[in-house]
Amino acid sequence: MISPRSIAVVLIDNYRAITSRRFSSYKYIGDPLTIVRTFSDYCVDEILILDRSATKRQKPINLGFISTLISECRAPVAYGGGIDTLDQARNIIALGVEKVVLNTATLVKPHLIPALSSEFGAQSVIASVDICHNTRKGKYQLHNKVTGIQDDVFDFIQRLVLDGIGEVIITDVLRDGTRAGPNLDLIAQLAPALPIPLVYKGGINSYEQIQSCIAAGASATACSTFFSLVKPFDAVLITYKGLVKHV
Amino acid sequence: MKSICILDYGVGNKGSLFRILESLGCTVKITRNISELCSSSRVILPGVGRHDVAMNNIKSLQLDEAIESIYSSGIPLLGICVGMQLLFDRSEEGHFISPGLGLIPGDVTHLSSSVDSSLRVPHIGWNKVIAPTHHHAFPDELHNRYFYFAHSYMCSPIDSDSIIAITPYGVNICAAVARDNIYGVQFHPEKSHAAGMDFLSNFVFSSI
Repeated sequence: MISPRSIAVVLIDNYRAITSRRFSSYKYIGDPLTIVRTFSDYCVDEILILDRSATKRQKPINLGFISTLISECRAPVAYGGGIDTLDQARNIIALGVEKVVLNTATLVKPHLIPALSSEFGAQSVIASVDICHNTRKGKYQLHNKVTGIQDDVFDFIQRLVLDGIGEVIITDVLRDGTRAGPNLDLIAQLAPALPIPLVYKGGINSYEQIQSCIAAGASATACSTFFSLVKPFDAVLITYKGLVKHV
Repeated sequence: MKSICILDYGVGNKGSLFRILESLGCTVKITRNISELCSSSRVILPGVGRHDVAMNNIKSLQLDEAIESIYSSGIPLLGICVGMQLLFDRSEEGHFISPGLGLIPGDVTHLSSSVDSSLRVPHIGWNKVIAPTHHHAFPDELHNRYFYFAHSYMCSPIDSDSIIAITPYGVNICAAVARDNIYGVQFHPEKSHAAGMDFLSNFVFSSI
């Protein structure tokens, strides 16, 4: 049977690799190329490269930069950051990326998903959904600083599934970078109703927590800080815990 | 040494495949030129994308004739993922039934019509590939190892003898096929770390 995946995240901001904390404070951790190569050498299950500055920069995606990153990578790769046209997605996939990840575009260009799915197949189109818990309303809501849209999370993801996405990455924004543990309740609420794989990201701090996310219903977990910083002084050290024995 | 040719038909993950084959010591060309293809030692049909889009590209570039020539010449041809699905008679993927190259009799159908509804589709991730048949394209050293899959459709060859490896996902998904000099794998060997490298190395260097 298929093995759950432990995905290594490489978060990039203006060509520098960083970790984030609650999507606000950022710590420089090194050269993205070196980090991608290191994860690849660790034989990671998958690498998720996310460029957080791409949408805000509003400049064309730098294909040369992505190409350089991919050339060092032998693992399956998903890339996200500022993708909002069919052409961009085509060019990125042609470089050797298995899956394109859409975040802001899922909110401002929803027609892009069926177009991408029609051309590349659902397995190549991933939605990244950032989620926070609204304690006043007592429910999970979308978090997106660019658009400010606050829809119901469950309805939104179901619409994305109908539009043709192959996989959804959910990020608990308040747990991002905190290593405070994953939101198992969120996984347990979302996973059963979804026919597609669900990837959980946010707050994981141990191999046991990765296992508990899988037990709660996630098909995969994605970690950034857990694989990049080591206690007690948060020194930068790229490590990896996988779920598959690559022999 | 003769070249390995990666067929360039406008879709597919050529970059990764190119780098992996080069690292194995091969001379690799990405081409759609018939004479280059027919003078190579191996031809690989890469695949990311949809069956109908891929077939449209192949037909508009008249590469279906080139592939027929490769088949007649006896040069080993390997289809990867969608590249494997193109080898069959037809696929459900697309707005209408999408005809394939017809080199391996059988159909390509959506996973949801075969696997249990409790299992998620697409089939994405690392799954064990079982190949107890000791076929030369999938020897013992590859049996029971994990390979990377990312697909929503599966192949069903009419001749079960052409199935040389399966992967369990509710049902036994056809993971590898072989018929004459035509081979296909549903997984991505170029993304499957050591197991994938060993598969490609065997395909390129063993006499098959």
